[in-house]
Amino acid sequence: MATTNEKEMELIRQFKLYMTDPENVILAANSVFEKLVDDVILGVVFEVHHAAKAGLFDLEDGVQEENTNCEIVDGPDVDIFGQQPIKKAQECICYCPTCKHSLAASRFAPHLAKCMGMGRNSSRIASRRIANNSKESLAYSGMMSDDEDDADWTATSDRRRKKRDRNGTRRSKTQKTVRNGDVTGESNVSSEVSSSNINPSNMNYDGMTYEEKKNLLMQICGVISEHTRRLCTRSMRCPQHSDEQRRAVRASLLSCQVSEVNATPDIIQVDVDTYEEGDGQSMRESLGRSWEQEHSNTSSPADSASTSSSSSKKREKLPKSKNKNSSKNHKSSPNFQSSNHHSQGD
Amino acid sequence: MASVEFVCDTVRPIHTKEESRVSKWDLLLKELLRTRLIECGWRDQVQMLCREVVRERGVHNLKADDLIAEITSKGRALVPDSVKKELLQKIKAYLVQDM
Repeated sequence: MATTNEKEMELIRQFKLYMTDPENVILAANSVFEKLVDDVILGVVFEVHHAAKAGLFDLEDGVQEENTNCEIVDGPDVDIFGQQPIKKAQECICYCPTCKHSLAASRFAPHLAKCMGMGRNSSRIASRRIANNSKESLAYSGMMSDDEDDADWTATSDRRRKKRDRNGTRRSKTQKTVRNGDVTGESNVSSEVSSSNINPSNMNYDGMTYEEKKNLLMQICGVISEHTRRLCTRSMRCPQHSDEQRRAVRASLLSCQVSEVNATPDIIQVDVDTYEEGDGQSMRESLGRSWEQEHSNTSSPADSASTSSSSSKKREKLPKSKNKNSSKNHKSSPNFQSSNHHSQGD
Repeated sequence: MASVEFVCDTVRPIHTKEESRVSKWDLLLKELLRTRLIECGWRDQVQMLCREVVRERGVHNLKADDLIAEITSKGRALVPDSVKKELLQKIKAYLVQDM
């Protein structure tokens, strides 16, 4: 210990001697300063190196990138996300088949309703048709006058009239489909009948030939109501009317037709389209009258509660008779049945 | 600005008398230098330099020795003169008086 202490004292003495020279002091101070600066630099470098290796830089850079991503874009013709403003889809434009007008798809259905005369205005069209077809509705025309003021109604009235003409041609087509015994044709007929219910000149039934009437009666119930004087357009199993009523109607209608066939055979060969309205009307009136005379004692078709029970009973009997007649399918069975009734009426 | 006495108080040597005297001055000077360099923004500059080097070479190709070698030369040059003068004066006083 003594030797080391002596050595140490010796060193310190030499050092102090060395430091008496100011130039040496400056040199020593510089070297010490360099060492200190290097130390500090080393500390900073280690810090950064550790951060880089541990992925802290990526985190910081990621945050910066996110900031750039979320920046609000302030350019012309773009929104704040830098996207083009959404244009209205070009493919959603439809063309009206009747007036060739291009429309947005969302407006297409309302436009069709206006252009083709469906929707709320259809009742107006129907009333207009009444006014046109029957000259007796002078009282109606007075009511029509405030309908004429309606702008959208009068604007498309010409188009509707054309449409109605088209309907007239279609009417014969639907009758053809009935002849084929199509279900769709039947539904068409029912819709046609319901539309023509408003029409006093009921061309549908009166203009038919014997064969057409027979075919129609195969499809529908056909009982003539006392209130509306129209044929019932429901199916053969219509619960409102009994089988007796149906039979009676068929008998009266077809027998009357047959007698007319014998009397004036020309009328039957006349085409539906060229057939005169007046004749049909008179024929229909005569039919209705004859039917009323024959079946004034039967219960009204409207009160269904009483008749439906009786008809259901009778319906149980019906299939047996059908089976006896050995009809092959359901469609042909009413045919046979009606013809059978026809013979009974004769 | 933290005074030398304040820095002295914060750093508490725990070694023997002689060692504590030397290490006390060593720590004191180093701490002083660090605070001065942070105050004048040198530390931030060096950090930016480091990041640039890291970005140039890529994080996976980075070696601590290369980084130290590159940054030391640049870092020395960046030290402000005022800080250098102050530190040199302190070191001289230490060398002449305290030893």
